Amino acid sequence: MPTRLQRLLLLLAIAALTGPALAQDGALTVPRNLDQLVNRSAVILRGNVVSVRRESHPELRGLDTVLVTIHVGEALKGQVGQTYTFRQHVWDLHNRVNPGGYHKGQDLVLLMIAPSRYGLSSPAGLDQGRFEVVRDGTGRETAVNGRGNHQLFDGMSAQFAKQGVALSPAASRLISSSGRGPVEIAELTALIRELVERSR
Amino acid sequence: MRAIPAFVARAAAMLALSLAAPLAGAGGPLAIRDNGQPYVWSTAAPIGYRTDNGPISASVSEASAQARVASMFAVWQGVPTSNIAFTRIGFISATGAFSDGDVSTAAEYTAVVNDCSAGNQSPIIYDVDGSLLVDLGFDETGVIGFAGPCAANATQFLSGRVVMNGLFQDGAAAPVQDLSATGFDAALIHEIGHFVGLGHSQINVNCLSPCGADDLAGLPTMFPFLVHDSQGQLAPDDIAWISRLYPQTSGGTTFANTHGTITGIVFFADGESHAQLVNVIARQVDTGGNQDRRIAASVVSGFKFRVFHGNPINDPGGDSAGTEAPGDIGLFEIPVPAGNYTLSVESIDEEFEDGSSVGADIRIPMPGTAPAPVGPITVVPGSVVPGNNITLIGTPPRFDQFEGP
Repeated sequence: MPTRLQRLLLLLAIAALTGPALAQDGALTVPRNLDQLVNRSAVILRGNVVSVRRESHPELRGLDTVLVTIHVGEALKGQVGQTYTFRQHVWDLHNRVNPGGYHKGQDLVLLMIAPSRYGLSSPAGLDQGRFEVVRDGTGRETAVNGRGNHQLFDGMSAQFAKQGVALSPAASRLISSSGRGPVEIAELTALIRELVERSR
Repeated sequence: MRAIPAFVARAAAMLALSLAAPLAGAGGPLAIRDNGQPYVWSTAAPIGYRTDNGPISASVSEASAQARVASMFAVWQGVPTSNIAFTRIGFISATGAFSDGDVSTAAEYTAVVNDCSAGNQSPIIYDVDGSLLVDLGFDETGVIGFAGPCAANATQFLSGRVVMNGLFQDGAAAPVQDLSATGFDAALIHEIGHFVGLGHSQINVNCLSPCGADDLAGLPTMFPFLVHDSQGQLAPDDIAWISRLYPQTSGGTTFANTHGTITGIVFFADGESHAQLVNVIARQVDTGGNQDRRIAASVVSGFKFRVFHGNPINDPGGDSAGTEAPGDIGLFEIPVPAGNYTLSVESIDEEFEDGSSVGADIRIPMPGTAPAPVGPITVVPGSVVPGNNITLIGTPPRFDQFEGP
């Protein structure tokens, strides 16, 4: 049996690691495959959330927004510096804890659309373009988006075959998979790179 | 990122199960008060909404839009065992920067939403060409619409909003393929479900892949994804929950003379520790008509319990909604039409994360394995059938602050 100290430390460790992944309820989106998400994105990156602040839009006074700053670990598309900050409109009345589903410490792969003239942006396909990275006890890192990667690769094999596009064997294998559940982060980012390269 | 030792990951999952509670959809309420009661609208008078004074899209006129919106609300109002009602008050009221009748810019949207947040009006906004969504920083080719309450007092919702993306109804194949009118309306009927205070439900999750007619008949409108146009028609789960939140108490058909409630607690394998965020489904016993697939209602265990208590390291805030009563951690209550039922449990599906979440905005896989369905349970009208407890099999032990010494 763990000692009281061990249990306290365990609780503190857990508390540091488990923030609820809240997001915006009340939006319906059409399913997008990864190629569509990549094409729709102006910036794609992987990084850690370093700050999340809910505040009114500076120009559109009263419009609820969340200002999120990411420490960028890897830029996959677009011009991105060491940090990347974006502002997203949030409308959840009940979601006051982690607005928009962002919280400090998250390891995310974000496929962001270009900011609007008001400086507002969000992931392509909303939570479809936001992948949370999870590392298990064996060190295996996987990524899953807000739809559990459901339909993430739908139609891509047929589309590329029709277009005569040859992807790498690893990418072909990945998009031929079921498209449900977490995928290896290294495989996902490699596929995104290929798709970005192909779209140039 | 940091590696999570396996034992910590397991414990984290268990702690989250014990601490997390639904502020969001629970196969029932969208939001829960700190006394465990759901937020609802007042039904002293019909809920008034105001519509945009313009078309939904290039091919759906304002007059058609008004009729379609009325028919979307009528789907919920038409439930005979619920007393919820709606009325169109008129066009969206002028307020601040909004004066031309048609909400088409971010400045106008902000003015109207500010008025909504003050509890003054509930606008139904048509984004005729997706340009409003673009200004708001959303992917106009991916978002069909969004909705939800704008303002609430201590007990009730006061106002709400719905935004519809006309790009999906403009008759053009680009930049997005249209949805069918039935499919578009089904999506917005789902959104209006959020508007009135309903969360997501997980029933017949096999319909994420093509499924049969009986499964579709039981597939809730409030299922997290729109997978079939038939979701524009309410399923027994939607009817049970809208009736539970807004019960019809007078006339020939009431909630009490048609429905009852099944309650119980989901336990870890020790039979003592409550398990939260397990999806519990009551299915009517099949008597040859596949009733078990068509007539079902659900809730997530611990739907009344607080979702996030904060922590001293990365977020001391926590929620203020949901109870902190340990007896609510694994509690479930499922309204069902009178009949004979079995109870089964399952994990919230891995597709339902973030905005599509069920029960709470954090998804924790169900620990252990599900026991055989419990039942049959006979529910007579107006009855509450308690004590239908379910003990999971093969779960690891649980550690949290609610554990005894």
